[in-house]
Amino acid sequence: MKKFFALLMAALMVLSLAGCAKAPAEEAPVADAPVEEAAVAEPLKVAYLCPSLDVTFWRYCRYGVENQLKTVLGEANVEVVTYDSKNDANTQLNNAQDAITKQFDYIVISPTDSAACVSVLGVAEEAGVPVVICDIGSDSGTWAGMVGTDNYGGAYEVGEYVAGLVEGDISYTQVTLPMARINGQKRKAGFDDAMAAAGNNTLVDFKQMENVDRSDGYNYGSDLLTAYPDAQVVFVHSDDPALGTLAAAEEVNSGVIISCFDINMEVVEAVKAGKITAVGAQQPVLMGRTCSDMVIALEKGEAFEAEVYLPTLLVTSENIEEVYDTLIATAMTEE
Amino acid sequence: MKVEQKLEHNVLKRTLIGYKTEFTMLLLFAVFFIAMSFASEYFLTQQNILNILSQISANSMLAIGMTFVIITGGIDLSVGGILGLSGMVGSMVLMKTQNIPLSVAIIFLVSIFIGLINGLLIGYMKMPAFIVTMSTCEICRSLDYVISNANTARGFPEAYQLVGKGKIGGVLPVYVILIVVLFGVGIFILSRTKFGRYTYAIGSNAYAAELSGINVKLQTMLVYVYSGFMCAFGAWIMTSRLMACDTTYGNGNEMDAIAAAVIGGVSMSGGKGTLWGTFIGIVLVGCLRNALNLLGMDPYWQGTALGVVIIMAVLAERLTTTAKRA
Repeated sequence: MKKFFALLMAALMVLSLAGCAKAPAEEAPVADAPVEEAAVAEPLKVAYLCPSLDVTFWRYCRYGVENQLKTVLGEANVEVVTYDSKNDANTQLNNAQDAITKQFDYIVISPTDSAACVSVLGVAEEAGVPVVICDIGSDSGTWAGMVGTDNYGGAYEVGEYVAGLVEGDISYTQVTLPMARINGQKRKAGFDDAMAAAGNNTLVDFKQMENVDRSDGYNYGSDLLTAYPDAQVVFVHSDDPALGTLAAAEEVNSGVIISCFDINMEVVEAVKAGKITAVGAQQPVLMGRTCSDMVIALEKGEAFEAEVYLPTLLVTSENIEEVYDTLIATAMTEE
Repeated sequence: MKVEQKLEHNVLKRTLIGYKTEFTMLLLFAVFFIAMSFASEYFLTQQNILNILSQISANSMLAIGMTFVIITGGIDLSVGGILGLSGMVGSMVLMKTQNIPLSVAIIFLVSIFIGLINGLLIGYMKMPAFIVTMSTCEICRSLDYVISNANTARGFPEAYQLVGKGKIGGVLPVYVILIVVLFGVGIFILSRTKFGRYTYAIGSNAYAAELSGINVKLQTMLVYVYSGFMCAFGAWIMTSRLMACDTTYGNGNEMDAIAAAVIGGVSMSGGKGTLWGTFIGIVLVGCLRNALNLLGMDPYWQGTALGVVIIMAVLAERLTTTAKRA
């Protein structure tokens, strides 16, 4: 016990010493650092707050942010670190606080949700750290730049294309994002409007996903296929869930036309094989790059357009070979 | 004079023996703290210390309640769900009425009510705590979606951020006061009141406790009610800190609360542990998460690092205890 107590006391003493040593260490550079050293430019420090690295879309965004900064500024001149919010607003705010403590110059954030983003903008503003928002958006607050996707236009384009493939009146279903999300509302409205413009087409039912994963796509897709076997078209609001719906359709040998929003390599293969007919592909790599361009412009004091909404790429079985290279460059590279 | 010195020595010895686990964890924490202060220049700054406290504020409330529950030999897997649901109900009321006292009261009512259901089923119906709390967690998560229709509650009045972001005199954060006060109250209850002694007694041997006249059913129920009550503080802090609430809030928070208690030496088989230990545990977990970020560790590796350090910390504590016994 004596030994233990001695160890404890020793540890606490070292702790106290470490605490005391901190202040002079911080003051040291003022007195000791050579003038030449002080003049050397510090690398630009950028933090990317990613909502979930489990999701390929966000990994593509991450690549865009990191690669653009390193390419334009040079690897030695930039330090870019990605923080994973794990789809949790609380973790997102914790990460923002840590990034600010670590004195990052800029934050690029893809928010977990637009309401919780306000807290991050608040702490960043307090610390004087400019923020660029990559997708989702924020309810309020101050940000330096914002990059998003034209969700309505992209879904409209897919709806228009699919409607042109079917003769007569179409009955269709949707497996949607939660309707609380603005991007979900826009995708649904875009597809519905395109269908309505193309003729006397009917949305027979739609299901809102909760987790927006392959399992959701499979479960809701199979339910819709069972309940509405005559529906000719299904529009799925995300890539992985679309693959789930495809699996459900293949199980029952359904001839339903599957279309979706967002893309990944498996969806590309499905499009090439004619299993998924049309995709409104967002360009996450390009979105990340555009955010980084905004950061660079801010750093250089150059003018830039503060709100940018990028178009989607319409990818179909017919044009997949033509657009493939563009897709890889702007939408599907993560390393 | 010699007698007095001997008495003092005995008191010190008893304290050290009584809090052996806590001192061991404190030592490990100190080593970690020192190492981090050298590894990152940002770690030992006032701002970062406040960040860590802010980051653990909601979970520390859950950990307090969890400590009571685990000391009785039980487990409460529903704390994250209770936090999420009560936070959502309170937030929706706040969004609609802009009435802060009403919203906070609703948060407490919902949390205590679910704690009461847990307590009744576990204490009086003798159902396994693991199954009951896992089920209530599922129910809470589901109701969270039902009442919010997966919408985010937002648009709170500015004054609501007092607990999560406010500072007394512009210096002392309110959440720090809450952490100190509620840990203090918890420590007092556990060590100085009948409620605390009964809690330990049930965890040590529920049958013996019953034979000695303790109303085990009532006491067990009250412990789960207390856990629910502490969840309300967690929900209040979290919604105030984020000034919003969505259906993901509270997901997985029970794991941090359990980890904090276990790291702090609370025995999963019940009857042993203190809130001092839990406090060290929750701060250690918070510091670890913060440290991994400050050191710029790849997010993919962070879970591994966190898990390994927690296992090492608990293992070190167990080995020390075993060595002492031998």
